[in-house]
Amino acid sequence: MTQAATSAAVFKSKAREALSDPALQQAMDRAKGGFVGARRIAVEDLAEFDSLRDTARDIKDHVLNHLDLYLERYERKTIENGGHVHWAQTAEEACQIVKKICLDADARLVAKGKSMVSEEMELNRVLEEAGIEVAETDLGEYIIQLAGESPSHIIAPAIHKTREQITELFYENHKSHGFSERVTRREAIVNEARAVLRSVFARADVGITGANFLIAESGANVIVTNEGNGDLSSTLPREGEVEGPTEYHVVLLDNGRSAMLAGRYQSMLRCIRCGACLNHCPVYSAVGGHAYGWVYPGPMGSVLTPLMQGFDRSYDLPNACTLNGRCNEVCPVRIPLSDMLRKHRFEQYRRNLNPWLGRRLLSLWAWFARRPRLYQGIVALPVWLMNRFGRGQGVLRRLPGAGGWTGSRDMAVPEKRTFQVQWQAKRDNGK
Amino acid sequence: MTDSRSNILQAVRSSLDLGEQRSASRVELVARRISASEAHVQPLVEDPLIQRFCDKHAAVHGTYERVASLAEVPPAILRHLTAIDNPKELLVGQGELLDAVLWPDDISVEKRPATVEDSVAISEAYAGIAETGTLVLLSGEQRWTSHNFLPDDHIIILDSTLIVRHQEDIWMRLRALPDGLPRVVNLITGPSKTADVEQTVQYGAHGPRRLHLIVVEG
Repeated sequence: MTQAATSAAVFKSKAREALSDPALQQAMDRAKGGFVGARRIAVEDLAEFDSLRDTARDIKDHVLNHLDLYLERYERKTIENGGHVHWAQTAEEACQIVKKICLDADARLVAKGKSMVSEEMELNRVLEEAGIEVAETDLGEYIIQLAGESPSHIIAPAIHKTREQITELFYENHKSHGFSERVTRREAIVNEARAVLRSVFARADVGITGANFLIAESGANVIVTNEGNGDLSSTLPREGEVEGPTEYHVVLLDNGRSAMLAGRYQSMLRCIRCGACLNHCPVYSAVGGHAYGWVYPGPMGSVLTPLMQGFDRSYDLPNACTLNGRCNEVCPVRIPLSDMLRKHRFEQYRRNLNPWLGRRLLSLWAWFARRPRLYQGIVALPVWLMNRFGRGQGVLRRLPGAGGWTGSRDMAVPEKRTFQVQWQAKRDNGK
Repeated sequence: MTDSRSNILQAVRSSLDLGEQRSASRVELVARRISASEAHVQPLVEDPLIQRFCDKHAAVHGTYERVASLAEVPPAILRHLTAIDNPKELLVGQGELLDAVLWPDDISVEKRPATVEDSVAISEAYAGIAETGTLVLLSGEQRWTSHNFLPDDHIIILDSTLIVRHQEDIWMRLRALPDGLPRVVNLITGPSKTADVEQTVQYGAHGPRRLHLIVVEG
């Protein structure tokens, strides 16, 4: 059974745990750079990449601005093709719809393709409570299902697991399938999962997948997969002489998305769940996905979680961002993620959610900032002190009162003079 | 019981600030856009298309052989089966070229859906996309989708004249099919793979470990 979604309110303590978890740090270290390098190579091979991003953004914007019409058209075409379309306002409602379809089909085993929406719904828990066995068939999802965990990355759900941990999970869980030895080579691990999951595909009564896209023109659904498990999940169950399932159901889930269509967060709905913003985020790379507390981690999760779970339940997420903007630079549909996180911070301040001390310090800073002479005098002092401490080396290994920073990285020594002094000097020279 | 369908559509319309009426201009815009299906920005794909297609296919871990005629297909298959050390038992799908192949006696051919026990399937592609090295396979009578995803080895035959430049070209052709879209259109780019164990690519996660292409020219 998958772990229930936990509150995103505890980011700080979970991040601290993550930073001191050696296995997690080892797994994140081994993964580091793989996605970033692969993306760079792919982009270099595609001269039109930037204009394709503009096109993708424009298509998404057009569809979002006419979503009511596209939904109606999609529904009509799907029904014409013999499918059934269900509408669910909430995750719970969607779970009940899926459960009923499975129970009506007398399903005992469900083969599931990877789906983040199903994670958002906690679908596995609901089906298992109804006595239906659920088997995740994406290798990463299968690994974390065995571990009783939730995904820590939206396209690489088991990115936080080391090979050694996977070896142990398979050893413990595959004895009943006739595997009695520990497999340690990557190839052997993949082969063992392949063999075990084949029996799932052979026995499953119902297949459940997400959809990367639904096409209004034809009523088709699109699944993008490396492994082929999504195709097997949607093709094999209940196979007779004629291939393919006897019934085809689509559940459309809102769960707060229609509200996001209004106003300044609309462009978040362009998201295609590719994971590029996670892969390029220094915060995500350091703490992994579970620290974010809900199914969507990293920059896209820090934007989505407050909107879907509530601002009061996810205070730390927008504030854990360094605003370096790398997520904006890599997003294939040009979502201004870090701008949205900044908007979230305004929203938190407006709703009075910031801690008392932070608000007081901000007010204090504002008071000084309105008195330029006093402000400059005060900021010149730490600049002078830090230069003294640094002794011309450019970095500080230790800094009194900031051990939390210098414990795991160096602090750069600031320029000898403050920005404002330099700016004034530059202007004077220009005269 | 609340009607979730109308509630959701109502919520979408109120977020988009449309009121309840569906304006004629919006309806018209969407209808026109769907029926026109204009191509957007397309990457430059240079000639010669057949070689570009084969190079892209090889770049995603596919293997291939170009043959000059249909008569050369069975020997090419035999060579491949020998190379991968597989018994000469094949599942074969339907296709114009495949239906015309004269199978030698030492290859046994079966026409049925694949099971988890089968090791080699051979299919005929509807088209190839040079842009990405992608093979297009359609489901249909005697064209079983399970052939594409269960056996360890998948061999695909492609008529070289069916190679197109961009993915959009395929959809234009599929739109023109007399019976509409088949149940499944598979766009296959390389063998099955996963990087879920330590972000390192392994082939044959579920479907074919190896994908071999035979391009029939002339």
